[in-house]
Amino acid sequence: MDIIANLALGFGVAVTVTNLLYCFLGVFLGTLIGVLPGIGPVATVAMLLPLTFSLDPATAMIMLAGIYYGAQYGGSTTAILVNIPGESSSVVTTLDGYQMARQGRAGPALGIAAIGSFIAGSFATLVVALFSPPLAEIALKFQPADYFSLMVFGLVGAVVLARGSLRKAIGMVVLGLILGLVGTDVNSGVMRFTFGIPALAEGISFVALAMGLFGVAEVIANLEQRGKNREVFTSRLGSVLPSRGDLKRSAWSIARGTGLGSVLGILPGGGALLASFAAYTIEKKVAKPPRDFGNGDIRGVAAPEAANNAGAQTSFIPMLTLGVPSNPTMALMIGALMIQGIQPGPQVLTQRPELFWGIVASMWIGNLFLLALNLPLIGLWVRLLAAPYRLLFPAILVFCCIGVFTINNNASDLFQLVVFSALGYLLIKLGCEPAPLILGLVLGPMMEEYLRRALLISLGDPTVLVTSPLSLAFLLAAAALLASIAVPLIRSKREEALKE
Amino acid sequence: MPAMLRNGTLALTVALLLPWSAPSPAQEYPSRPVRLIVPLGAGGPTDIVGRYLAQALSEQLKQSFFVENRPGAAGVIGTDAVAKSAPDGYTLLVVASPHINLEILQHNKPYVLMRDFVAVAPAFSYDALMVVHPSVQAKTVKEFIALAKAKPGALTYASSGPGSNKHMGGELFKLMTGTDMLHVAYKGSTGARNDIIGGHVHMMFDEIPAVGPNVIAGQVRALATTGPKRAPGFPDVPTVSEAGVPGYEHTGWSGIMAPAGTPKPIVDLLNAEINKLLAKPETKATWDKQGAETMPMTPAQFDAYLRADMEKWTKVVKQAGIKLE
Repeated sequence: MDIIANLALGFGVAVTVTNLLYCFLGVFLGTLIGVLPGIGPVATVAMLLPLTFSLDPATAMIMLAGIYYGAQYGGSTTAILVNIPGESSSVVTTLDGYQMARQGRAGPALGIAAIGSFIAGSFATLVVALFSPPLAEIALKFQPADYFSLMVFGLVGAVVLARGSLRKAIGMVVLGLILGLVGTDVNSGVMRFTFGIPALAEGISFVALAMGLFGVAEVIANLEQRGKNREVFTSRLGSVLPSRGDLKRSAWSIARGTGLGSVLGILPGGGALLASFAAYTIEKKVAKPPRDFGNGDIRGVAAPEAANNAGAQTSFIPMLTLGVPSNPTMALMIGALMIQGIQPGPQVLTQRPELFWGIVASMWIGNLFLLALNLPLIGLWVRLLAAPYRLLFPAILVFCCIGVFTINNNASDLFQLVVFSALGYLLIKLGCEPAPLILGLVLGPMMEEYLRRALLISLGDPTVLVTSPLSLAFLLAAAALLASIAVPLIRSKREEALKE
Repeated sequence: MPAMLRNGTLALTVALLLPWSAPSPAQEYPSRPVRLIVPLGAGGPTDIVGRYLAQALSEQLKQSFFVENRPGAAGVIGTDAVAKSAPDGYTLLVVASPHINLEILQHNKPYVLMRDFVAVAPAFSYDALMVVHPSVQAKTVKEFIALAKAKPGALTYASSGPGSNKHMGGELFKLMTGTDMLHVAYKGSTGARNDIIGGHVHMMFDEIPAVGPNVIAGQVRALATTGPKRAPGFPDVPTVSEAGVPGYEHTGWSGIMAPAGTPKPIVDLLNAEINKLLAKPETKATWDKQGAETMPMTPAQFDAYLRADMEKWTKVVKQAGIKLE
């Protein structure tokens, strides 16, 4: 069996005292920095990259992979604790995760996120080890039209995300799409809706928007409350770890999230993000009743977190097999390889098998460390929430500002944060949920880009959207999802349909 | 804060311990950490060069050089930040060939490259490979031109965006061969590279460091290289000029510029240090493997090179009618 020999080679590389140490150090530093709101994996890896320059290539990659997992999990931690998604893929984690935290169940939420991530990570590592080359082939088969239809499917799913009124959810998606129009047009280079402000040339800052709508708006809304009501969290902390019942309830959700994340993670651009949204949407439809999504259902944390981490793992596939990074973090890793004097690309597997398999093995070890590090830390995080609001709120605001500033080192992003905080407060007052808006903002520009590219390459022939089997399948799935929302609506049972 | 974090404790301690009194510039330089501003996101080729130079200069000058990414507006925001910085040698710009395109195509920028900056040193140059998907029925540049002429407007070429090197290279090719190809723009190189490997577009001019491995693996076919001479890593691949488009040349480069008014001794010191780095065999070995070549020049030579490059592409832009609107 090749695979066993290969994995043995990989573990041989990964399980040395030095590499284990750096793997742990990476996970530790990644978690530590990633837990600052807004400082996601890209910023964390960029910051810590110089630490790896002096290391041996395998050790450097192992450490970077550790930083990546740590930072990714750190993003989920803030999503659950203070309603601030560190990056787009942890937006859905806020929906039920933060509600759980408010109910004093932050511990189980963080625990299930760690456990779900570990299971998903282990499975996805196996996928990477076994199926890297064929999966990369599949990802290459995706044409612009297929991506477009996948995004359409994702957007319809966004409507299902919302808890309350369907009309408001659609309105939020549309608002997100409109905001997504701001920026430079991909095809012509023309600035659209930037009002001559250079800072808007690359579009609205996702992080500023997410932090404003979720984190800061939540702080403002809480300040309205008087006296005791102002404390966001119940003082009763409850158990720190998920109970046996929690685990049992979440098992299938973790499994579904893992599968979905493993598949979507290999698609360059947006794959891992769609995975977490899709996982949540599917849970909302198929999880066993009683369903209480949006009000602290643990499965609403387990599934997207599993999907998120599985996707993070399989997103290594295009990088390792083609040298094409599937997200900015991967691009940084490729940069690190180049500085190490290794040319990333398909040759890595044949010329430097010890590096390839060493990374694969350390993925699993990194996930193990993540679990080992985070389960004991949960108690500490949860205790932070017990801090009085007069200390907690200013701290949240300060960290939000640091996070937003760090992305581009540009003060104008802070103005965006202010504007979106005000908008977020308005949305809370109007009872509109921001999650569909975020998905619209993220998917809208990609959808447009892929549609226009599909039409450009087909020389203007729109039938390409239905003649590609993949595209057709996604469009049909989107139509089915739409029908599943619309049919009960027509039967004027809207409330029942959406209460789930 | 991130800047400090990026350098770890060394930069922090140095910054805190050193007296702030103004030393005579060249003798004491660098007496505190030096910022290299990369006006693009982390992880791209310009960023990699910036980080490599920062690392090497830190070692050579016993002072921390660190990269700060200031992305936005295709590089305008970060470049402008350097233009407006004090010309004291403590803020430098990592400049690359797309800066020239930007200069020609973006009219309302808040800075003028050759007025607001002085050339310090180029570092590396990298030719592109003209690659096609293996399914394209052309084994040579001549066959490709014939194919394009047989089906005007039906062949597509990918670029990393309007005004990118890949776009300019494609337009220059169209201009010099009289062919008509469809430009398909992507947001950055990776999407474009993915689609040429996947066969969704036909052709692309892509930098050797990036696409070289895919050529060796047979995922795309190289028809030619774009430099004045053949690339060391691909001795069997002719240049575009040799292969039937005499005079076609299109080379990417990256290096360092400083705000105008930076004292000459500092510029010369940095130039000497960068050239010292480029002369090291291990530097050559590292970058050779990536398909990039060292590019040692004096500040005056670099300045002349920049002006010549600007002139050449201004003509191409005019003739091809490339516009960002």
